[in-house]
Amino acid sequence: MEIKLENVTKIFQAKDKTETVAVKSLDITIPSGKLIGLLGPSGCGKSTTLYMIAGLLEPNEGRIYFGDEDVTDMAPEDRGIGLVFQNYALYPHMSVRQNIMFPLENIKVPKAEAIERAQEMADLVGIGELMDRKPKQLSGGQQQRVAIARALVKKPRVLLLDEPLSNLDARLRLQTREEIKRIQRDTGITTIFVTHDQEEAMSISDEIVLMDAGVKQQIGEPQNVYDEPGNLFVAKFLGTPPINIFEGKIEGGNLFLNTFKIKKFKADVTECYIGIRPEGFKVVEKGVLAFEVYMVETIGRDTTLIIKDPTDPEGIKTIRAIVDAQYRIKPGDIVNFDLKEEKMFVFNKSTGEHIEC
Amino acid sequence: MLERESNVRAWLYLAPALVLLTLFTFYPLVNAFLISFFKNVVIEDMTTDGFAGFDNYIEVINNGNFINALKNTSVIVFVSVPVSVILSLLIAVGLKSIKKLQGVYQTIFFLPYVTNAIAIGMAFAFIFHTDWGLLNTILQWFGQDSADAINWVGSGAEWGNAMIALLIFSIWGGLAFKILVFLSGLQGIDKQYYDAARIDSAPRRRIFTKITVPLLSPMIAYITITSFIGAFKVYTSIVGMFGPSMGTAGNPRQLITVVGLVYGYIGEIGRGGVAAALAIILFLITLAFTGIQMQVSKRRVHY
Repeated sequence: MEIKLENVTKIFQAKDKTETVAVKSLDITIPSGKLIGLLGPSGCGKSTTLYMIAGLLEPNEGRIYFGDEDVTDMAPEDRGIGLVFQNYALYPHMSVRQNIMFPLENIKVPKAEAIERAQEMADLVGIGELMDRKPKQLSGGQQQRVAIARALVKKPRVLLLDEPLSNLDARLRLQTREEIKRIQRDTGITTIFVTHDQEEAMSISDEIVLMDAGVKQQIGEPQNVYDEPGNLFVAKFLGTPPINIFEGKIEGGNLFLNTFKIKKFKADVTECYIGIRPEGFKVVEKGVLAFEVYMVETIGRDTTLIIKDPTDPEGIKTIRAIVDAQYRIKPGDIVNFDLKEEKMFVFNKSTGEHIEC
Repeated sequence: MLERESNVRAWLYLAPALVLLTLFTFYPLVNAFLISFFKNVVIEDMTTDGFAGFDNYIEVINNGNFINALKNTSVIVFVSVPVSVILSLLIAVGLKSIKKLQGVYQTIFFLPYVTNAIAIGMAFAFIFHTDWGLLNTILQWFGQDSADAINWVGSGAEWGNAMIALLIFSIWGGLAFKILVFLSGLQGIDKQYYDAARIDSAPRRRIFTKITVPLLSPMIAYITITSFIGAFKVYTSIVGMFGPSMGTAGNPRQLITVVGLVYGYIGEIGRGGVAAALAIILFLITLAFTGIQMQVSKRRVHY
C-alpha cells in the first residue's frame, strides 16, 4: 500500500487562540511494502504526521491517500491501520491473549479463529508462551511485542509505530530494532515509524523522511541522505559524532577556511558554511589544513582528535576528526590534513542550502 | 538510641489524632458494646443499673418495628446504592464526553452535595405533593387523570409510593459525590487506551464495558462499599422528607430505619442499653456485608 501525503498542513490552536503550525505543506510518497523512518528532532511534527496518517488527527489542509483511495475524511477504524503507541497502551486488566484478540472481537471474528490468529501473531513476534500473562508481568520489550502483535492481528494495510524504541533500555533497543525489521520483512506490510534517534532510523529504515519545524527536509535511502545532505540541517542531524561546521568564505574562485585555501570553488555567494564529516580528514605530510591537536581519544581501531575550532573567535568550540589509530598523535602536535572530497559539503550561509561545486 | 528518639517523635506526631480518636471514637465504640449488656442505661449521665446479659438484644428483636426497620433499610441499601452507582457512572462518562460547558454541568450535578439534606428533603416533599407537586404535574402532562393523582408522601400514602419517593430522593442525593469521584477517575485513564480502542474499531458499548469499567473498577469498588455502609446508616434523608416520625401523617414509623429505631430508644429515658444493642446488631450486619463485598471485589477489581 503506497501512502501519499499531498500538501498536508496541521495547525494546533491553543486556548488563547495562538496558533502553532505543526506540519507545513507536507508532500511525501511512501513506497509500498517498505519500512520508513520518520525522523526529526522533538517538536518537528513527525508524530503529528503519524497521527494524521492514522486518522486520530485531522489535517487542516491537504489530502492523504492509501493507494488510490482518499482516506483524508475516513475514520481511523475504517482505514485499516495498526498503530503501536509510544507507551504501548496495552489494556492492563487483560491478559496478553485478550489484548491481542481485542481487535478481532470488535469485528466479530469467531472465537476459535480469533484465538488461532492471536496465537499465530504472538508466535511471529516471539511471545507465544506468554499469552496468559498480564502486561504488568512483562518486560518493556515483551510489552512492545504484544503491542505490535495487537496492531498486526487484524491484518492492517499499514503499520504505524510511534517512537517504538524510546521506552527500552539500550541493549533491548538494538535487539528490538532488528526484530521490527524482521517482522516488517516477514509480513511485507508498509510500515512507518517515528523516531528522533538518527542512528535508529538509519539502521533499519529502507527510506527515511527527515523533518524539521513541520517541514520535510529530505527523503531517501539513509545512506544517500547521509552522503548527499540537501541542506545544513540534514548534514548536522545525521551522523555520530556530528559533522564539523566551519564558517567559510568564497573569494576569487577559491574556498577558504580561515586562511586555509581548501580548493577551487565557484559560487554566487561569498559567505558559506563548510561541513566536514569527522571521518573526512586524512592525515598527510603537507595538506590543505593544519591544526593543533587539543585532545586525543584512542579507542581501538580509531583515534578521535579533538581540535579547537580555528574559526571560533572565542576558541571554545571544538571539532572532531576520526583518523586511523596508527598515527601516534599527541596533544599539542600540529597535524596536516587533506580532506576527502565526498565527506565535505558547502552550504549557503543564509539559506542553508547545499551548494554544488 | 536514635531509633527510640524517632519513635518518641512519631508518637508525638500521632498524639493529637490518637487522643481525639480515643475520646470520640474508640471509647464510645467500646462503651456502646459494654452498655448493650446493661439494664436502665441513662444516656445523659451514663448511669447503668444491673447486668442484663442478652436481654436488650432479645428485646430489640422482639420489637414489632425491628423487622420493619430492617426491611426499609434493606430496600434502601439494595435498591438505591446499585441504581445510584450505575447512574452516576453513566452520568460521569457522559459529562466527560461533553466538550462545551463541562464545568457548568459538573457544578449542577455537584450542587446536591453541598446542600443541606434537610433542606433538600423539604424541597422533595413539595415535589411529591399529591395536588400540586411537580412529579404529579408532569405525570398529568402525559395523560394521567388528576383524579388518580398518586399520593406519594401525603397522609395515608401507601408504603410502596412513599418508598419510591424516598428512593428517588436518596438516589438523587447520592449521585453528586459519586459522579465527582468517577469523573476524577476517568480523568486519570490514559487517553491512549481510547485511541487504541478506536483504531481497533471497538464499538462504544464495548469500550465502556471492556475498558472504562475495568479501568475504573478500584473507584467503583470504593464507592460501592462506602455507599453500602452509608446506606445501612440511613436516617437524615428520611427525617428530612417525612419529619421525625419517619412516616407519613397517620402512619408514623412507616419508613423507619434501623438507625431511626436506635434514635427512638435513645429518646426514651433509661433505654440506652437497648439502643446500644441495636447499634451493635447493625454494626455486625454491616461488617458481615462489607466482608462479603471485599471478597467479591477481589476477583473483579483491577488495581
